Amino acid sequence: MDAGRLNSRARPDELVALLLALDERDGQEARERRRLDREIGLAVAGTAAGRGGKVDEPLALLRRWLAAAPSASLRGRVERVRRSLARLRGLALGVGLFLGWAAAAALLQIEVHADRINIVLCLVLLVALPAAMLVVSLATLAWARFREDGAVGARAGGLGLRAAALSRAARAMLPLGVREDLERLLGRVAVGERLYGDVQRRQIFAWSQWIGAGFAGGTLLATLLFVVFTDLAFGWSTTLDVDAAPVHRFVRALATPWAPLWPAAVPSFDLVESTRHFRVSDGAPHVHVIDPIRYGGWWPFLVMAIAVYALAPRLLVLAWAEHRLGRATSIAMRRTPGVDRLLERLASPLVETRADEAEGATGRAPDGLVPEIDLATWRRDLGDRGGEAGQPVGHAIVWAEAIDDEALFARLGTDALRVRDAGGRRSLAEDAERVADCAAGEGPVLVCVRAYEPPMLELLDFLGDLRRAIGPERRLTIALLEGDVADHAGWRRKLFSLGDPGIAALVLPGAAQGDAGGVADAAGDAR
Amino acid sequence: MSEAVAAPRLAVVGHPNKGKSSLVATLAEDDSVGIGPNPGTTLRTREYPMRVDGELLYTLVDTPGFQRARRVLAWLEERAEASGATAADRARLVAAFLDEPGHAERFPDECELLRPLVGGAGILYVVDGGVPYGPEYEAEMEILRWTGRPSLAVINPIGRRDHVGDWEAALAQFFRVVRVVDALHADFETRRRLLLAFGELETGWRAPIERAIAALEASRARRIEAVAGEITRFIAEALALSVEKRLGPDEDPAPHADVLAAQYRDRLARLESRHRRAVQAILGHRELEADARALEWLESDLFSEDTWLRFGLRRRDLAAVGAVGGAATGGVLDVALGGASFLIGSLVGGAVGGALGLLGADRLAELRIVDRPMGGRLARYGPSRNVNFPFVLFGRARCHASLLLARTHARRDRVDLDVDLERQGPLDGADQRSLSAVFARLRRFAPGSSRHHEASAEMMRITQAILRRDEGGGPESP
Repeated sequence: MDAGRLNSRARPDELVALLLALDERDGQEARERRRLDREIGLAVAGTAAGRGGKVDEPLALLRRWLAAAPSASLRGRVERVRRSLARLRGLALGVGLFLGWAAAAALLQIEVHADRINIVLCLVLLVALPAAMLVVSLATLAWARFREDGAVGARAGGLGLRAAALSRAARAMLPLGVREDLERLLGRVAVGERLYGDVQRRQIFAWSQWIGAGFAGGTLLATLLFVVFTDLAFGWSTTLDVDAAPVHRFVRALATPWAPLWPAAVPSFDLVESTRHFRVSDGAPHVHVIDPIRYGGWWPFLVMAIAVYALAPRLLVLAWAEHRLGRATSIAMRRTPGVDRLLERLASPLVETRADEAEGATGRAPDGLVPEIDLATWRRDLGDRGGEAGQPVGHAIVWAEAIDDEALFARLGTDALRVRDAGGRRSLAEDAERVADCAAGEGPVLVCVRAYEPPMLELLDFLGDLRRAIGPERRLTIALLEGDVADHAGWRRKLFSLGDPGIAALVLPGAAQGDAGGVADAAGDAR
Repeated sequence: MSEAVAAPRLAVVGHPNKGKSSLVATLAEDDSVGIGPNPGTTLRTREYPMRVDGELLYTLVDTPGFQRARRVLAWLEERAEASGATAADRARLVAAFLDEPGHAERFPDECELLRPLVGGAGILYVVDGGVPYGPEYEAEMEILRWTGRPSLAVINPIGRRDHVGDWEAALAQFFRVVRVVDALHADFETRRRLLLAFGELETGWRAPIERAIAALEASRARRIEAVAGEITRFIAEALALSVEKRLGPDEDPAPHADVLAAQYRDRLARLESRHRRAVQAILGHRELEADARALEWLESDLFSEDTWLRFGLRRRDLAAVGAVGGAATGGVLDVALGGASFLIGSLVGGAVGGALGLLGADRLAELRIVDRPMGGRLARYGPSRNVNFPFVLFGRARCHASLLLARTHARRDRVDLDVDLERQGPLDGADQRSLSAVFARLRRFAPGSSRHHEASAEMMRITQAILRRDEGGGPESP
């Protein structure tokens, strides 16, 4: 709904409802928000399909969303706002009616006591002044509009009197809850006057037109009632040396709009000439003999002048003001932050890829580490055991073909070990044989693993079996081949979970991890 | 919203710590997936259903890794030998393994990962191409073969690609389809191709997978559009940003300059931070932590003074009122002279009235009514007028957005925006010119006005095009 193409109208209470409902939606989890809005979107699309596929324009879509999305309590609040705004409009009309009635009644009453009513004064006060006020209010709006399209930082203001100042008075008349809701709108205006300033300004302008229309209506009503229930005597006078002819031309020109419809409401030259009066005549105080028929002949003209020049323009401007308010509100609704995304949520398929359930418990690494020994310590322990030259004094088990014998001896710097394979392609029975071999022999046991592979439960099972077989006294060392510091720490933590105080880790220096494949392949080939 | 019964299910299985969860997080665009350096992070299967408007199109199942594969295989082989089962009975034996009393306690990981396969899921077997092939993988691949489910292997090179070739050769013996996908850095196209490969695994899977891909592509396009909208909003707000302080008629605004400057920068920083969070939310990177240098300051003097008046009056308003009043007064003279003055009265009156209104603003500010001043001095900082200012902001926002668009949901490292900002390619000449024009319009017209709205729409289009181009060669490379 681009602003240029926007012809739809909305009510200010709908804008307030939208802001409140968006706030309410923002409080929901994003995924839930998207799901709920898409459900509404699908329901609307289903309705549209029933209408022959006619797609809703954005404002209609927003209205449908507003009909479905807000909670019951929010609907109640919105309804209160709607009623309050309607009451404010009624109040504006009532105030105008009262003022118009009071002004016309006061003027006519005062003049009645003065015997004659100055028709010029009536025209000025009851017709010309309201018409001038109308022009001023239009100029105010035009100025504000001009300012709005100006540079950044320009503030909308009506000849300096900002709508916000007027709106404070309007707010004071509202119930507390409604006031808070409306202040969400007005508060946003205060933040930047960016989006809702035009709505606020046009709302104030519309209210002022309701007052103006009420004023003109009250004036007309009071005049008619005075005409009906009192005997009004109109006349005109001037100190200037003015002939009746130009005055007649002037009033006849004024009466042009209604002359074809009501000729009797066009003052005749005779009426103009005969109703001119002077306070003094021929040097003596003038005593008037009022001819009620003649002097009352001005009333149709006055009534029509009020109706045509005060009331009708007001009603026209009021209709225009309400129309522009509706458009401004519609534009503000469309441009409200979050509406783009709301429309997208309504119209776009809901694509879900994430897990429905929250992540459950994840595996935690043990808190401790098995001790790490260095190669010198391990060799010293092995050497202390003595033994004949060339005879193995300990056992080595290579897990899953992690390394071949020669490479292992080279890295350990000794070949005094009996080396066996386990894990990998070996069967469980072969694993059991290795355990039995170790149990039958003596000396420490070294289990060689590739540290870049994770410690599997299968290996931990094997180590458990091995410990049970060799007894608690013999040293069991896990040689960590390759891998990085993080891998080694991971292994030491996992081994700690065995709860075996006689187990230690030995990081074997050797080829970098990138070369490990070659070592492993060589090991695999060798077996 | 009903779920199709025949929607494909894919169980992501393999050795522990080989990137199964990373691959799932990337494919499901779910940054809540538990990913850790320690093996055995995943204890239970977790399902990631892909739905479009509630219709299930496929499901990814993340599983724990094999822990005792040889024991499981040994049980299966022993049972097959004992019962004289043929190859046709192997899938039934795997199901029997799950039903065997005590297995759920003894083989919890294997039971978790085999259950979806027995239930009809396809196999997505993940290995690490950064480490050498080892014989310990063969038992688990053999078990998977026993399930008889359609399978696909993914080589996920964690860190290095040294052994991808070896793995391809080994996996080809067990799997019909083998793909190399870096789970941490897979771009959208790579993910799309992998999904297409899923669709080829079994008859009837292609249609839902192709629909899923189309929905994912459309969703991604909408997200790029939403990100472009966020960037536009951020730049427009930053361009209009200013902070003001109303002072008394006799107060000197100058001492407030530093405070206002600090407030201005703080609000700009918060604006940028809010913008980044919004972009992260759109792209589903809620947990992301980013490092970035604060905005370097381009201008030293954005401070200005003005006059404020009650009722929102401004100097210009007073000048306008004065001009109208003066012109009206002059007009009376023109009328009195029967037009012989050729409207000189109106012109002179308007000029004099306007000037008096302009000059009278300060005097009015000093006026006190009911002991309240009618106005005073106004200290203001901003908005920025520097030509480069919006380009700097745009560059940072573009870098952030492009980085997140390229970033998979499997990554858990912090983002260093400064590094990526340096690697970001410059805007081409046409983009620079278009943006320069649109920035000028955003500055010129008041926010909320139709022209400002049109300029915002134009900037959004330009930004969207730039982000789409960036997506092809984003600043963050694997």
